[in-house]
Amino acid sequence: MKCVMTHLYYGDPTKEFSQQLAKTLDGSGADILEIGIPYTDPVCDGEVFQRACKRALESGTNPFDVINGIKKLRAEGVQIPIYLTSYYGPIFKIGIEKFVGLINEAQVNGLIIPDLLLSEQDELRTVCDRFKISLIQFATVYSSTERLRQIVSASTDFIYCISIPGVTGDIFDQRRNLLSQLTVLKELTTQKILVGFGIQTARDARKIIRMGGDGVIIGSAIAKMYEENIEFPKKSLAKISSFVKEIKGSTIYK
Amino acid sequence: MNRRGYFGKYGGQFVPEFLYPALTQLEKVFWEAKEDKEFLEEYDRLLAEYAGRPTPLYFAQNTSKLMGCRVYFKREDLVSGGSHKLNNALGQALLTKYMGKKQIITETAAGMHGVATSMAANVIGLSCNVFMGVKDIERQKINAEKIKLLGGNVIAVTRGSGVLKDAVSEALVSWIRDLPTTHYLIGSAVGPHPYPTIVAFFQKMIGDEARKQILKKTGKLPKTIIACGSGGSNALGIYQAFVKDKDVELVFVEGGGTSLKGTHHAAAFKEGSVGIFQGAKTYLVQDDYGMDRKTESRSAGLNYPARGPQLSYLYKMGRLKACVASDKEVLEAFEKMGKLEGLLPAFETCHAIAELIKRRGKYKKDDIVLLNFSGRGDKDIDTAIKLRI
Repeated sequence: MKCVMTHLYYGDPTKEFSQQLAKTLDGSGADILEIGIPYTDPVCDGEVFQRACKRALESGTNPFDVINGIKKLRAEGVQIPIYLTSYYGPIFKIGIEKFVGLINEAQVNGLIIPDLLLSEQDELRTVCDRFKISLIQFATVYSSTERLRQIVSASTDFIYCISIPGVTGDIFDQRRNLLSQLTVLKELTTQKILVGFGIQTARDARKIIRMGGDGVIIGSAIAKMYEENIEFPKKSLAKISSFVKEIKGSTIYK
Repeated sequence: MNRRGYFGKYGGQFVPEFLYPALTQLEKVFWEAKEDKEFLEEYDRLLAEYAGRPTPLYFAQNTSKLMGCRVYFKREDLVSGGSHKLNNALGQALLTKYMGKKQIITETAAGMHGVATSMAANVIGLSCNVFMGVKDIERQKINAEKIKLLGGNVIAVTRGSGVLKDAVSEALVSWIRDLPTTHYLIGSAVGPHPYPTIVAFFQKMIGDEARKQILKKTGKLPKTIIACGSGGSNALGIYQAFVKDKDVELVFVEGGGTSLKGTHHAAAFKEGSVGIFQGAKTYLVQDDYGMDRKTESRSAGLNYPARGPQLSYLYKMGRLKACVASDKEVLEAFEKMGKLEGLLPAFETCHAIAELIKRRGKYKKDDIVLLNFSGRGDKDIDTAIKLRI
C-alpha cells in the first residue's frame, strides 16, 4: 500500500491547534504523522515553514511541549506511527539520553533529523537502538550510487527521499533527476521510499507514485492552508481534511 | 585533527545530506592542493602581488611607552581590502577554480568578507554572489556599493530579520540549488569540516611571518599574543605558529557587547556552552533548548554566536585564555589608537587593543606583547562619529 506522511510544526500557531490538526490528519487518511520541533534557524525549510517555526516559538513552544503533545495524542487514541523531526542542536543540548528516553515514553516511532550526516549518528544511534527508535535516513538527488548504498544499509522503516535540490515548499519541477534516483534506490533496496519536498498537489503526488515512490510527504502545502486563516486556523481544518483525502486517493493505483 | 574533522570533541559535519558530496569533494581537492607545487606557487604569487604580503611587523613605540613593555602590531590592516580576510578568500577562490566550479557565493554582515571575496573572485575569474541582509545593506551602504564596484553581485536577503544569520540560510539554500557549479566561500574558521581546517590553513601565514619577524627584530618570542575574534580566522592565523611554545600566552578577546547579562553580548566562551550550530559542534551562545542564539556587539564582525572548533579545543585545553571587551571599551580603544599611533583600527581589532590597555603595567620592560592588528577601521568611522555626538 502507498503511504501518505504529513508534517506539521507543533505549536503553530498554538499547541491546541496542533492537537486538532494532528487528529484531523489522522482521521483523513494520513498513514504517518511527522511532527516537528520548532527551531530558530531551520536551514532546510522554505518560507512557509520558516514562518511556522517563528509563530510556534512565539507561542512559547519548546521541545518538551512537543514531546508532551505527542504523549497526549497517544492518550487520546492516535495509533498511527509518529515520527519526530528535530534539528540536531536541541537534541544535543537537552542531552541524547534524556531526549530519547522522553520520546520513548511518548511512543514516538522514530527520529527525522535534517542536519545529521551518517558519520555523526553513532552516539545517537546507540541510544535509539536500545529503545528500538528508528533513525530515518535521507537520500537526495545529489547522492551517488555509492552513497545511496551507505544510506540504504543504515535505514530502518523507510527512506526519506528529497525530490529536488532545494528546501521545503519549493516547486517540484525536476522529474528526471528524481526518476533516476528512484530507479537506483529501487535496485538497492526493498525498503519503502517516501518522497518529500515540493509536493503541493494531488497531481504531484500521483506523478511520484508512478515514478516508483512508495509514498509522499506533505508539509508546507498544509501549513499554507491554515496560514491563510492564521487568526482562526480551525476554519481551515475541513479544507485540509479534504486535501489530505485527495492526496491519499491519488496515491491509490487504479 | 582526526579524519572526521574533529579537534578534541569539537568540529564535525552537522549538515543536510545534500551537502555531503560538496564537502567530500572540497576536502579531497584541498588535501591535494595544499601539497601541489603549482597551486601553492600561484597562491603565494597572489598573496605577494595582489594582497601585498608579507605585512610588516610594527614596533608600536608610543603604545609601548604607555604599556611599559615592548608592543608589536602585526599589520593585517595593510592587506589589500583592509583586513586579513583576503588571505582566505584568495586561497578558497583558487580552490574553486581547481574544483572546476565557476561561481562563488558567500554572505557578509559588515561587508569586509564580502569585499575580500569579490576581489578574490574577480582576480581569479569567477562570478560572485554576496548574500547580505536588507538591514545590513542599509547599515553598510558603502561596503555594499564597494562589492558591486569590485564585480560582485549583492543579493538582498529579506527572509527572517534580514540580518547575518538569515543571509547564511539564504546562501546555503542557494548553494544546495547550484551545488555542482558553486563553492560556498566561508570567511571564518567555522562551519562543517573541512572549512575550519581550510580557513586556518589559508590564514597561517600571519603567524609564520610574525614569528620570523619578531625573532629577527628581538631574538626572542613574545610573552603574550592578543587577538580578537568570533569564528577566529585572524586569531588562529597568528596562534598556529606559536601553539607549541608553551611559554607564549595566547589571549583571545570576544565581543562583550553592552553587558554580559542575558543576550547583550557575543561571549560564547565566557557565557556560552557547547552546542551544534551551522555545521559544527562548538562553543555557542544559545538557550537551554540549543537554539535562539541572540548576540549583541557593536562590531558586526564579532556579532556571531559561535566560536570555531579549533578555538574551542584550545580553550578547553587551557592553551588559550578568553577575555571580553565591552562596546564602550572598544570605542575608547578606537579613539586612543588614533591619537597614540595615528592608526584607525577596525572595531573588531579594537577588542584586542582594549585588552592590551587593560594589561598596562603588568609586564616587565623587556617583555614583548604581539597584537594581531586584523583590520582597518574606515568602515567604522560613521558609527564612531555618531556615538561621539
